[in-house]
Amino acid sequence: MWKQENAEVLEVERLLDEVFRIRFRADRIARDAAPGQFVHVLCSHHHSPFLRRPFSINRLDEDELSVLFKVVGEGTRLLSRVTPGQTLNLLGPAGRGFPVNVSGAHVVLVAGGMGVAPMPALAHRLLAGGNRVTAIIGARNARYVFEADHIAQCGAEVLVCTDDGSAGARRSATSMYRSLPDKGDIAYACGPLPMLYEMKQCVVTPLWLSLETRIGCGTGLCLGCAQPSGYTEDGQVVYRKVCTDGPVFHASEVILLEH
Amino acid sequence: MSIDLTTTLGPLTLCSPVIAASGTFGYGTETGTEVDLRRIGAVCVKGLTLLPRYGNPPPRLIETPCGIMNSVGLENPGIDRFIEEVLPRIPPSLKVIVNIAGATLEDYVTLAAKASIPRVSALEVNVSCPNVKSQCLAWGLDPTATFELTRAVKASTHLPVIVKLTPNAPDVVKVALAAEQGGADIISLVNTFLALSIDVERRRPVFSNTFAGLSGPAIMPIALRMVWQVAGAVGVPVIGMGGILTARDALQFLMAGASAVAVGSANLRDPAAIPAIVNGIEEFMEREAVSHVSELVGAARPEGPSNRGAGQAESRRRTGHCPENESADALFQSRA
Repeated sequence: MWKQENAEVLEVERLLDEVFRIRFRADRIARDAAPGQFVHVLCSHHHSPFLRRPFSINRLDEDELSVLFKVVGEGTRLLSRVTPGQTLNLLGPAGRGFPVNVSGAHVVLVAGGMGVAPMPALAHRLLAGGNRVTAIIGARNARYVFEADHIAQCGAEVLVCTDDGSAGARRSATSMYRSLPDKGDIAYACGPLPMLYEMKQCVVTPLWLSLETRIGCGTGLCLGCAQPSGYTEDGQVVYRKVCTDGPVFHASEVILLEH
Repeated sequence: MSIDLTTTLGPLTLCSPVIAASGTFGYGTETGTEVDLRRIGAVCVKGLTLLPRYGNPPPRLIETPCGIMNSVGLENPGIDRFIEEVLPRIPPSLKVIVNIAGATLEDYVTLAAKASIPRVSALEVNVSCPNVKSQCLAWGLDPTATFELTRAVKASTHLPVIVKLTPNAPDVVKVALAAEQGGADIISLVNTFLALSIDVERRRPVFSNTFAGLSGPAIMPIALRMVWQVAGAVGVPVIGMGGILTARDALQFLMAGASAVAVGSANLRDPAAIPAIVNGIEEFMEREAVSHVSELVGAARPEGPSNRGAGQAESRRRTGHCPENESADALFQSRA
């Protein structure tokens, strides 16, 4: 169950012009959090932006957690300007994360762009559970490759690929996945929708996807974050809530459209 | 001093004057122990229809300056599954108001009859949902339709009947009077304002239904004005809502003449918004030496505070404005 916590900002790292990592002390939330869950951050104490902003939990420690994000609008712009010592109201851990009660498995993580955000906490937990982890990190160019070293240091095998070949192989994350001689026992993916769509088409193992979408309340109250999930007998679309049914779904639970 | 937050709305008594507005607090089962439900007067559950509805395709919710627009489209499990599966899971301390939405008069009558069970404290008749293609909103735009619908619902339930008005009606006071004449025990307003957003890259409306409902602090002053007007015109208690975010916002609605308030959009920003607002009202009452919340109701009106809970509606109704067979239109002309 989520909690609300006024969390102290411990560190703000600027990884690129518009990419930041913020580390919070949030012991009530961190204690119960699982990789793939998110925190819903109140970015403004004024009326605008009105809603919180959801961020995957990036790194997770006993009483600390971090979020990794790109500035895309007013909420993330405000968030990028916080300074250590400030407190922000966090709601979390929210949603359903990746299944981490696996052991002795070979797990393949596939991340595209900012979809790498939940992978450090996930890799860490899976490795601690006695699994072998291969992490594919795809980005547009070398500057946008984040967390590769950190995930490698945790003990995962890391494969980097970029659209322009400026780091690692010049190919997409899904094409890298397709080229793996050993596709492992299970795959976890997070990234842009076209990437998730492709993963769903080509995967040969059980696949779990972390979806990114606009989320309203984050607690299942508003029904705003509807994700097509299936059809009724008479052809009506049935939805699931990204905020509480997800954001991590088994690939069979969601209908993704080709982009 | 002792502060009494007990709120009487005609036949309905609540432990606090702040209600969770329909569609913004789920079914009261989602917040677990993280929100102090004992501070919440009642939960108005998400609008229920006869059959399950799966809702509108995304996007369903966007932000606007100081507010949100939604087009959820009444996603709900249907009245039967609600009663069987959801209602038993609502914490017993929380009063339940069932919001019903239909396309036809028969839908509303059936819904009212089905929902008239002991666990339910009142019915809220939704004549104002802007996000479904059926005629839900149309009912609330027209005084005659509202009168007939209210009368029919009232005849099919023993529960207190709340009629929830739309601010999109050409004359919301006329519709309020129609609901009162139809037998409404309580009037609630406002539902969302019909609004539009356009995606300039796609050159199309953002929402699949074109229009959507605007709510939040952006609309609060307009909602407050409407509550003032309606509270001044009807004799039954009024539940005021529209963009309440703070205790001061809630106090404004009470002082405008609402006997209770409902909080909606604020729950989506902070699921504990209502307990915080109730605490703030309590602090204000302590500071101002107000012992009973009803003393604040209508306090800003020229005629001064009024206790609308205490049978005023009955006396108003007995004054002869409610001959059953007189045409509704004629009544509204005489009263408006």
